[in-house]
Formats: sequence, C-alpha cells, structure tokens
Amino acid sequence: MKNYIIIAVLCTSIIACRKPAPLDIAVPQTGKTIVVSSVSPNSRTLVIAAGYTFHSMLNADSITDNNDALIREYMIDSGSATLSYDENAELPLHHVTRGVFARNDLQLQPGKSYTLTVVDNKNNIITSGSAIYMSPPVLNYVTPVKAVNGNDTMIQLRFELDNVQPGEHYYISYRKSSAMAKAAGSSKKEMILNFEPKKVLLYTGKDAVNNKLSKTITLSVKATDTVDVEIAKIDDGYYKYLDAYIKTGYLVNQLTGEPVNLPSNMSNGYGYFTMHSSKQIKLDMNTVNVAE
Amino acid sequence: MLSAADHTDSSATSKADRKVLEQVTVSASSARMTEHVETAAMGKSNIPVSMLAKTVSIGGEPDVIKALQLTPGVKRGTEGNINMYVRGGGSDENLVLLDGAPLYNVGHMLGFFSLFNTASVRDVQMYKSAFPSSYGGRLSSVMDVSTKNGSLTDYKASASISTIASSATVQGPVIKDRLSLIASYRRTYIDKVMKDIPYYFYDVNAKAMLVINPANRLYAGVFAGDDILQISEQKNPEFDTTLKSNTHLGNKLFTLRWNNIARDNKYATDVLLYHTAFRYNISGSMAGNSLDMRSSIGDLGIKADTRVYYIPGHKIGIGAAFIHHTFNPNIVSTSGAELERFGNSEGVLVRNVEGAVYINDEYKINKRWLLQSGLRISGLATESKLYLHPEPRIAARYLADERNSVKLSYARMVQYMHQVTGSSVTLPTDLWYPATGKIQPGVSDQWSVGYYHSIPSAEIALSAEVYYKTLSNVMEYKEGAQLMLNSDFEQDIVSGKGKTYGIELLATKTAGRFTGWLGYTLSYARRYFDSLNNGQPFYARHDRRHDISFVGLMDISKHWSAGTTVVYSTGSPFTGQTGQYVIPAPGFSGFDAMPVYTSRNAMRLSASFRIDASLQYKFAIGNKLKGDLQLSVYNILNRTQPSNVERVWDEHKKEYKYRQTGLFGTITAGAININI
Repeated sequence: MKNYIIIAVLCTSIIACRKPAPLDIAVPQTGKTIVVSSVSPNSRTLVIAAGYTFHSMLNADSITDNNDALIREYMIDSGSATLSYDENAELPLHHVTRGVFARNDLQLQPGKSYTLTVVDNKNNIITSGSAIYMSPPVLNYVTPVKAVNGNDTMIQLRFELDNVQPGEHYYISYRKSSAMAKAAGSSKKEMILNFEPKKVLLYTGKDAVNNKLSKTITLSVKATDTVDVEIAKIDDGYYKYLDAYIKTGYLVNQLTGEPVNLPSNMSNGYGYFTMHSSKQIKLDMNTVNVAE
Repeated sequence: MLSAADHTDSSATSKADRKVLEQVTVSASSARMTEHVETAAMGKSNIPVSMLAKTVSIGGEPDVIKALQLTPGVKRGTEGNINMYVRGGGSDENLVLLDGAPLYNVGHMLGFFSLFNTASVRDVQMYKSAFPSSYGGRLSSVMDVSTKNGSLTDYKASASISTIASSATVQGPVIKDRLSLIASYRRTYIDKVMKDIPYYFYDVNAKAMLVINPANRLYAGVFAGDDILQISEQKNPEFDTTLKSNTHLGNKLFTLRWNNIARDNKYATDVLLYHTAFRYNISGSMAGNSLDMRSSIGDLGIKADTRVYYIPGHKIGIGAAFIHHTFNPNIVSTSGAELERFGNSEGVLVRNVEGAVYINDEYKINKRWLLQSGLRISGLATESKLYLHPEPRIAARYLADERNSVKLSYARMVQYMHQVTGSSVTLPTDLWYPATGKIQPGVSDQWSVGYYHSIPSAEIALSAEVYYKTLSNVMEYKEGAQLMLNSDFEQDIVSGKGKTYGIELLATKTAGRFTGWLGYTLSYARRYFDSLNNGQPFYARHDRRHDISFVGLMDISKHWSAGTTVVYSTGSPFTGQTGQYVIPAPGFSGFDAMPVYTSRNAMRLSASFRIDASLQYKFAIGNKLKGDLQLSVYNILNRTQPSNVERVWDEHKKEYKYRQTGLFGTITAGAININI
C-alpha cells in the first residue's frame, strides 16, 4: 500500500500546476446584411455610404488598409438609393462610386421626416429607414482657453447654444490633427479601436436655462494640434444610437456588460441613417489664448 | 446534538475510541436516514459539514459553498466562483445567514473563496424548496450557517497551513461551565508569496457563549473579513505614467442571541439582534486623473422565534423579524480630463424597513401523513410605497413504509432587494438595490414533488425531486447600460420574468469507510423581458442542461484516506459574435469596426469535465497533538473549464478564430492541520 501512495504523491508532484490549452469553438457567421451611414453637411446635400457586414473572423484592419479590397468586396456595387418624403415624392440619389450615393440639389426642410431606401440588386436585399432633418444649432459663442502643465496641454471649450427646447438633443464631436495624422499613417489599426473612449459628447435640452445651454468641455491636446469641433442638433433616434455607441468605448462595459448590437433605424440592416447639419469650429492651438 | 462529523474528523484514536466513534457515526447516519424519509423537508442538503469540508477545492482551501455547488440543483457560475445559482435563480436570490444574520457578499478574492472558515463552521443547512416560514427575503434558496461554540470545559487549539492561506482557532472556558470563547483567524499570503499580486484577505470569527442557567444561554458573535488590493507606483512604460489604486471590500457582522428552553421542554425561544454591513471602496489615480467609488449596505435587525411543542401531534413555530436597511450605493468622485466626464455622484441614500411575521405548524395527521404548513406575511416600507405580501408555504409527506416516502411542497418567497449584475461577469462590487416605488419586489412560486428512499443496511439515501418555479420582477440591466459610475440606477434597470424547471437525482452515503454522493440535474432556466432581446425569451447565463457530480471519500487505513470529485456539466450559454461592419465614427474622426452579435445567449460553451483528487495522512504525536497532512490536485486532467470566449488571431489561417478559455488548470496544493 505504501508504495502505491508514494507513487501517487510523486505523480501529483510531477503534474503540479499547469494551464490547459484553450478549446476552439465554431461560431456560425451571418450572411451579408446592408450597412448604411450618412452625412448631410448642409440642407442641399446628402451623401450615403452603403456596404455589407462581413465575417467576424476577417481582420477589419487589413480590409481598411486595402481600400480597393474594401470597396470591391464590402460596398454595394449594383444597387440604388432613393430619398422619399411627404406621400409620393421620391428623389433618387446619384451613384457616385461603388457603395456611395449622393445628391447636392436637395431642399431639406428642418423638422421634416425623410425615408431612405437602399436596394442591393446583386443580393436582392432592400432596406429602408427614416430620419428627421435637423438644421445647425444657434451658437451664441465658443470660447477656447488653453492651459499648459509641463508636457500636458489642455483646452477648455466654453460654449452656449440658443433657442434650445427641453425635448431636443445635441452632440459635440471633435478630432485632433495629431490623432488623424497618426491614424493616416502606414497602418490604420489605430482607427479601428472599439475600446477607446469615443470622441462624442451628448447633451439634452432639459439642461437648458432660459432656452440657453451653456457647457464647458475639457480636451487633452498636443501643443501643436489643430482641433476640429462639430456641434449639431440631432433627433431622438440618433441620440439613442450615439448613447449606445459611446458606451462601446467603456472598457468596463466591454468586460462586464452584455454584448448587444448597436441600434439601427434601417430595417434588416445596420448603421444609422441621420440627417443633420452642424456648426464647425477649427481651433489652432498656436493661436488659442493661454489661461491666466 | 452530537455531531458525527466532529468525531469522524478525529484521527489517531484507540481501538476502543474508534469503536465508539463508529457507533456514533452510524447512529448519526441512521438519524439522517430517518430524517431523509420521514420529515416533510424537501430540497434540503443532508450532507454533514465534515464531508463538505473534505471535498477537493482550488488551492487546497476547504470551502463548504464550493462543496454545496457539487450537489444537485446548485449551479456554479464562473469556474471557481462561490456564486450559487439555485434551481435557475440568480446569484442574489440566496439568503446566506451566519448565526442567523444575513451576509451580502459571501466571497473573498473576487469570489474564489467563501467567507466561511471551515474551522469555525459547526453546521450548514441548505434549503432549495419547502422553505420553513421562518425564512424569507430571497427567492431561491436559504443557506443557514452556524458557527461552533467554544468548549465550556477544555482548552483547545487548532491550526491549518495550506498553500495559499493559514488559519488558527483557539477555544476554551473563560469561566468553567459558564462562559466560553472561540476565535478563529484566517489570512492569505498571496501578497507575500507572489510580489506581483499585492492582494490578501483575512477573516476573523469570534463567539462567546454564556450559560446563564440550564434554561437560558446568551451568545455573542462577531465576524469581520476584508479583501485588500493595493497597487502603487506601477509604471506604465507606454505612457510613462504612474498608477495608484486601492481596493478595499469588507463584511462586518455582530450578533447577540438569547436562547431559552423551557424546563419541561415544551417550548423554546430565540431572540436575535444583529448588525451586518458590506462596503467597498475603490480609488485610483493615473496621469492627473483620479477616481473614488464607494458603496455600502447595512442592516440592523431583530428576530424573535418561539417553537411550541405542548400540543400533541403539532410542532408550532411563531415569530417576527424586522430589519432596518441602509443602502448607500455609488458615491463617485472623479477628476482629470479623461475621468471628469463620468461626473460625480453623491449616491442615493435609501433607508427602508422590512418586516415579517410568521407561523409554521408541523402536524402529524397519522402514521403516514405529515403536513407542514406555514404563512409568512412580509412587508417593506419605503419612502413612497408600502408593500405587503402573504407568503404561503405548505409541504406534505406520505410515508409508504419506513424506507419510502413521497413529498410535495409549494412555497412563495418575496425579495425586497435586487443585486443587478452584468450578465458576463459577477463582481463583488455589483450593487444591491432596494425595491422602491418603481422597482418592484421579486416574487417566486415553487412547486416540487419528490420520492425518497433509504437503504439503512448500506447507509445510502436516495432521492428524486422535480421542481417548477416561476419568478417575477427579476432585474437586469438595460442593454448597453453603464454598469459602473452610474448615479441613476433606476433608469438602467429593467424587470422581467423567469421560469425554471428540472429534475434532481441524488444518492448519498454518509457512514462507513466509503462516503460520498452522486448527483444529477436536468434543468432549464429561461428569462422573459419585454425590453431585452427584442422581447424574445432567452436562457439565463447560468442555464446548464445536464450536471453530474460525484464525490467519493475513502478511509483506506487508520492513517490514510483519499477523496475524488468528478464533475460534468453542459456549457453555459453566451452571446456570440457572428459578423462585423465598418462605419465612419460620428464627426468623421475615424472608422469603427462594430460587432454583430447573435440574440442573447443563443450559443453555448463546450461542456466542462473535471476530476479532482486528494490524499490525507493522519498522525498523532503523543496523546495531545493530532493532525493530518493533505495533498490535493484540482483538475487532474488539466482540462479547460470553458468560462468565456475570446476572439484571437490565427497566424496559420490569417484570420481570427474563437476559442474558449478557463481560469484554472491543474492546481496541486498541500496543507497541514494540527489540533491540540
């Protein structure tokens, strides 16, 4: 008996502490689904990008590194996009290039609902969604103030919006020239980071006092940066989309939250069809005043 | 009651002693056999603490909760975690009592170890159904842990040194035959052994017992346990910044109990006063940003319970309980450019009072029929609303013969607080939220039926139970909710329903050279939320279709014993990524690759299979010192116990693939226990 016990002890000592190899698991992939994004820089122009979803096993970075491959494989090459409003009015968007449709002779009416229909002839898929056109907000002032602390440069941006109603929604996005230059380098991996803090801030009209919404935001920048700031009024649906989008950048949610698809206003599709024009401010750090 | 468990733990003994102990063990086991068949209790663990403490666990640290996770109907969460999911209920639906007072966080080290130092645990009662009406406040289970009383006659000491923790217990009379004291202390030395992990936990149990006279006793108990993680001066080479963080979680519990037994044994009374509290504080700073998060929950409670035995054929229990709850979740302060946008929160201080009165009667109708009926009327007074709920409980036993019985039961339970967790991971920092005017109390209704059989000659007890349970007002976070730094929790919580059902088979053997149990569970746990998963039903994260557990303990000889655990369970469901798409970021500040997921929990991880083994050598030095050496191997086959899915790059195929990872592989651990 003792011999067996000694052998058992020796065996267990040999195996000690080990880490097992992970197990592969097959996750069935979905078929192609239309993805839509849009931009309307002013009340005359609407640009639509329409592409497809692709397998999650593919490296999105390598796809975007190769623009030709991206356009060839993942943008709609045979299809149409139509903007409709009122009861029967329809405006086909012009086919600019593969997956891109646009028109610059529109007369978008603030507060009016428009429906976008995208048809993919090759795969026989139709998707549609509606959005309300939002005109640019009334901006009373924007005051940037720079603070320098050693190697860190901060910019405080004070602004005030006017004619703000309680049920309205606003967003501010910003992009820094240093970040854009880095992303435009040899690899575009930096551009496709799901977990980085999203550079979007959201506000609601209920925070307004006497129809004026005053806010101050602080951005960490480089001393030589140029910062493009965009302020826009958006509809309720896009506000909820951006709210969910921002949360995808919270690391803690990525680790502990339930994975959910971003909301979409495109039937049987992904992405978001939005129509809003924005106020844009360019800030050159070399010319912004330093706080006293 | 004389515990067979305490005696079977004794090691080197004389032949005469061993004979006596065997008789006591068999006697206790026979009593357990009788109870198994003849009482109306259902869904109740019948396994002694001494057996639970011998099951193999990670790091060789014995743990009664992990052992109970090996019994039918009690599911594990993440590998190694002490969270319990009983009959499809959530991990917050278990009432865990220590000497009658509730604990709100029962885990150390992110939940890998329970608070219960087995050296101080005298008894564990686990109820999954047919709850006596004296228990309430949670939907799915009750785990009632009693600590040991100090000896009134002898001084004793014991110590245990294991791979990750050491503990010591001392006990003895302060005034012989009148006042005794027992105290236990346990601490890990992970921070001392592994300098890269500046973490440790400790816990302290102490209990005094005063024998006022033969009819009256007074007990005073205290428990304190803390988890501490301190990181400082850790350089981040990429950004050349310094990270400092301090995480502190802890429980405190004080109990004072008066026990009175009438001299004619016709009635007995207990009055319990307690204070229990759990709080955490997480602070950190890096690169000019700082964060401080605090939450706490505390109860001040009183409970009175009287059992009356003087009506022939009846055992009547009546009682009342009142608890003053104080919730102080989510006090957050932030500073710095990156963290300021999360804002500050003063938290929402909530105080309310929960109360209950109850009556329970066990009526022996005749030789075959036993009826246990009870009614608990519970309520909660909040600032804006008063809730009142009747909670009927009924259980019946039909005794076919002395070896066979059939039992039925129904129980309604009400829970006036919720601990909402992210569905992927449960954290000790998950917050308890009280029922409010908007957040309704949870309610469960459970029906169960079972067949019970005993084989006295082989000391084997068999049972088969079928259950069906509905849950209403169960809480989940909204999709995409902000789980931390959230100052308005009511906005991010949604309520839904649950339905769980299954069958549990269990065979136990609690006496003889070979002891152990074999259990099988077939179960379903579904959730129904209008605002989640597009209103479609989905499986709960802890839904596992099949679960088989075998625990075997064998006394090989006078000195040697061995044990093994074999566990198989179906994988738990998860939400898989089935595609992705690239879209421009708002404001065209870049591009984002966004994932496309399946519906909620539509996929399932691979099954888990694990074998553990242990070997124990018992020794004695002289007449006073006894001890044992233990060697245990967790996950001896070194198989992955899948707990999550990762998307990783495959260099050969030049594309991503999915793989399942677990937390632990084979872990060999040693321990030495000394008793004086």
